[in-house]
Amino acid sequence: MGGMGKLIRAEKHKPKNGWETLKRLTSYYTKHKLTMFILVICAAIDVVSSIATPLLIGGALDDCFHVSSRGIPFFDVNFPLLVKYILVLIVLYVLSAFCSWWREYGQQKLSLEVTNLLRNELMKKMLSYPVSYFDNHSRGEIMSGFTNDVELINKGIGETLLQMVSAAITMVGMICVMWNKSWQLMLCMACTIPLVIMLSRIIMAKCKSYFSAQQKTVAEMNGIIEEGLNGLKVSRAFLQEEIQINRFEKANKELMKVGVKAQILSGLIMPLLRILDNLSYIVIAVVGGAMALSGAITIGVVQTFLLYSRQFLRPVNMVAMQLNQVQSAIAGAERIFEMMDQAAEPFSDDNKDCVESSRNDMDKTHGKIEFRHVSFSYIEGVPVLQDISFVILPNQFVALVGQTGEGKSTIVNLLLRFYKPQSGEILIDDVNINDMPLAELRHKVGLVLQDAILFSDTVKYNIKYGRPSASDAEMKQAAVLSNADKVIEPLPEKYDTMLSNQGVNISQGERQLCTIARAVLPGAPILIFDEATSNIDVYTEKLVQGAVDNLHHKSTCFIIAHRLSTVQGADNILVLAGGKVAESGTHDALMANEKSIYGEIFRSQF
Amino acid sequence: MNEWKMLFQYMKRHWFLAFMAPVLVMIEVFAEVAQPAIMANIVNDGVLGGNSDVIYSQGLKMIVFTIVGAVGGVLSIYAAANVAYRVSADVRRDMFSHIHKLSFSFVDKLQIGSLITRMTDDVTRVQRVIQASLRLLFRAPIMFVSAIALLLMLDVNIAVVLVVMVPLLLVFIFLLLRNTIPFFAVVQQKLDGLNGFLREMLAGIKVVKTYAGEKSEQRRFQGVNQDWTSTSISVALRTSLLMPISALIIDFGVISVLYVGGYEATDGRMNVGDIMAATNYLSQIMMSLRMASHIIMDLAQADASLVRIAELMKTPSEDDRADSTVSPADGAVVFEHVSFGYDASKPFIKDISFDIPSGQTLLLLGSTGSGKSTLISLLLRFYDADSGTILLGGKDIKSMSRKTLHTHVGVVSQRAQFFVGTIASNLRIGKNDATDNEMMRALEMAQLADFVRKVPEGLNYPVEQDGVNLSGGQRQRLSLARTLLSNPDVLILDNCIAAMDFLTASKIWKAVESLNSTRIVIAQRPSVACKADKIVLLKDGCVERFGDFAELKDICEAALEGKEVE
Repeated sequence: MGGMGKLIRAEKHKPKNGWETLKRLTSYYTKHKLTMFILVICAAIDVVSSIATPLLIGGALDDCFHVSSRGIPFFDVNFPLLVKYILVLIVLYVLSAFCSWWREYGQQKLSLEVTNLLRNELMKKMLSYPVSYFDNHSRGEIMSGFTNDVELINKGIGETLLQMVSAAITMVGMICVMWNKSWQLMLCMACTIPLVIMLSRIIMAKCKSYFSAQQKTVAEMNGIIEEGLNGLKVSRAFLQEEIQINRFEKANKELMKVGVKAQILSGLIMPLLRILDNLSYIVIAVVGGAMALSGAITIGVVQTFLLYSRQFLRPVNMVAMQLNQVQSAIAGAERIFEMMDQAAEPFSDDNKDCVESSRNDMDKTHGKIEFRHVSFSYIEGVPVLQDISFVILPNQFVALVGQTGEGKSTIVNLLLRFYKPQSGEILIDDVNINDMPLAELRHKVGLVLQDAILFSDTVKYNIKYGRPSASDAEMKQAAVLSNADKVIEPLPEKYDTMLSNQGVNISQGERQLCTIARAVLPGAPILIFDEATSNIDVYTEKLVQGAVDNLHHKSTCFIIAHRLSTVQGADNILVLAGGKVAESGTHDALMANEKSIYGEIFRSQF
Repeated sequence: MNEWKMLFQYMKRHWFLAFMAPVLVMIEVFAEVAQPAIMANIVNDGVLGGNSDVIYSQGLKMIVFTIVGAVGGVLSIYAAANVAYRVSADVRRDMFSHIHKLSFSFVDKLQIGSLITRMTDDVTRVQRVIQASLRLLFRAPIMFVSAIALLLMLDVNIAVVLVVMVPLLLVFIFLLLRNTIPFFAVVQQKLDGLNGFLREMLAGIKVVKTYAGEKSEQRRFQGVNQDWTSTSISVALRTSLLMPISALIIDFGVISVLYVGGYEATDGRMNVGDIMAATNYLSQIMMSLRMASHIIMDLAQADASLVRIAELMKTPSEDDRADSTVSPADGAVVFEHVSFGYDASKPFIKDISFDIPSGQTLLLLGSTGSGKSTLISLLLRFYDADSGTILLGGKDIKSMSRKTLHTHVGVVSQRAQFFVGTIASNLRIGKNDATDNEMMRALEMAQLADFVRKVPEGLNYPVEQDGVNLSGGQRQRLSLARTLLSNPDVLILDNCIAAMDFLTASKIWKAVESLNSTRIVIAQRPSVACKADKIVLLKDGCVERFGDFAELKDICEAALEGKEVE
């Protein structure tokens, strides 16, 4: 994740529309109604037994222990009754142990399953988005949605909400019991509650500002680390080590200062609450003791109150402390839902049928491409293509050349409908691509990109990517046609070689040839090579050239290049300049014109 | 265990605070465990004995103890947080400056991404564990021992209960931890798998879209996602057993105390207040053990981080003769029988020899993987050659300080790297005190001056992270301008001209040619061959051909015609 991303994240900590988000999030949980029901039952049993057991112990002490006629310290103990009490306690303990285990495990399992579903749905949505979405959002941002934000929900909602529910039941139950036993003592104890809430609120508010300051410093420091390490070669080559280290050290020191402050402040909460805890313990001991002395209540009641006093305040503390966590979980959910609510590519849902029908139609398609008065800009006011028109006939070999930034790759983006033009229309085989299901459109086109991107799987998987149902023979044929066979055969396990880490275990050139085979296999009538030879060496370039020769006249070949050696054999060369097709013609025709842009580019090739 | 020794060394620098933290925790714990005893006094002597003075005096005692405990608690947090943050700041600082001294052979081996995680996530995890364990590591055993001691002081016969209960608890916790801890690493591994999948899919999104691979990507994602979830669930199954079972064991202890207490009370050896206190001590024992098991789980998770930090710190830094005054006479470069391998057993560069006189142009040709960029890394001493010598201006580069070497050799690499700031601030990386005029001149040569003149901010045009607000061509030219500004004796253009379009490239070349510096141009094909004085053709790490332009004219012509060079 980028340092900048973290910085932005730290700032938008608070949810904007909390209730809506929470409601939507809840709908994921209600899919597991039975589990939720069991969980609540378990929580209730757990809570009831945690209220009942102190009561029983107190009762046992009261009912079974009587000061003996011999006086203190001798007691008369009613053993049969004591055994009865103990048996009830055993049942309760075992039951509560089982329920609290189920509560804990069931809750975690539920949370994990819900977040699993969330991730799957998010991925499904992601995959339906247009390429422009991925161009406009950083990888770190998207990945953080899948991991960090989902984890926030897992921690914040699953654990906290259930705990809050049990805490509420506990408190209500305890209040009832205590009220019943001695309302005077109960009121004594209740005095401490507002104190606890106030105190934790004050500290929490302070903490929050320190923690967000800390988070900001962390983001800043991580930014410096990322930038410093990514630019390590630069700072070393330009002797900037000192400057980098000083810059880092400043952020590092700042973090230490802010961090310690935040820790101490948050560290104050527990001891302070403990003082309050103990104060209420003492108040009960003193008041309860005095009341027992006067005979108003029994010692057992005092004991019960004392045991409760610890348990009573704990839920209050917990709720106060965990509200923060719930808040950041909701903020995380909000980010995820925002990611889910983008508009999908049109026609992206009707994939399946179209894929089949377009395969059947494949023989009928020819691979004619036509741009009619197409204009396009990524940013408003900065036109990239202006009123472009051209026609490529079936089975032609057409090259598109032009200087960097003239919009060569934009033409591919438009043709595949990764982006949509602001005006004009694009036709394939005389059909407007906007009227074509997306899958059908993309099945007509095989694309080879400048970056040879492969997935971490076998060579076979990668070549068959566009048509997983292809037979091995068909795959081999495509590989031979694209010259990839020549580099795959010498690999240790040939087509079954595992590519690790996006294929870095084979060379760039070998990867590029595999991507050509991948493009060829589905038998698309149009093949596009987008700067496919820019990053490869002379030897591989020869092989690519050979592949193009093999494919020439079998399908439409559309080659985008800034290296002119690859395009000289083209049937037609389109020269892109000033957002328009400035010139077109064969190599010889273009060279014949003394003043042609093409000629100038060619001659400047040293 | 070496990594813990390293951590200990860091903690020693803050020994006073590190020592005080547990001491203060002890005060906190003692104040806490004393409470049930005071409580017992209140019940026994005060309530049952009918003495209200006792209640008040003991109540006061309780308040005092509580405050002492709280003060101890807060101070111990102060000490522990200070130690944790100071140690982690020290560790981070040392890591950062150590990375800046590492030889690139190690940087490559460890990978930048992993270095970043080590400096961020790993250090943070260690910091958390230091802070928690300085408090809890001592709190748990102190609480455990003192609760047992006080319980025995109350009544020796209760030892019978303890003898059964405590070993039972210990065995249970031990078994649980032994079955849980190995899973933490697996969960982490599955998470890495998920992240890896996401990174790959996002990088290849265009491919996925073009081949309508959405369905299969979704299936694959569900696979890794399920993998992670299932492992996490099986960890949850184990950790969720900790609380209920240890509570159950303690609960049986409470019941036993109640029953035994009955007999003791009959004989007058124990009274009701004592029984109450005893049940309190029992829950303290359980709490301490539970705390301990949490710390052990934390430590197990921190251990992996610590190992990764220690691995980085142990990596030797490159040797540097920082005080050497040797300085090159001019920009002549000579490679004499240089061999080198990234992997010591596999030489990658084999017996390379060539030379280029000062002020001339050398073209370094070869396909990907032939070793061109490696030669440059050797010249810059990012790596050291295994054998042979490299001379700059007649002096062995190993005899110079790195500072001298890097002032005399400037490189424009294939992938331009920038720092967040402005065009000016990035140019000044090349020359710290460059004036606006100097910067504009460099930009002029790099064909970027027009752009800077066009934007309203001029030289103060912002450069965002990784220079994303600049186009690929602009980044390359800015990086060139930066190097030109440093005015090196040897200028290396690593694959950067080849990626530019021809018109721009030729203008830049004209500007570069006018400099006095020695020029080394790296390319996959001889597009600038005609301008080179000498050419080196590399193949598989060996010099295949070396000679004047005239001698190697055939290569250039063949390449321009698109034929393979054999």
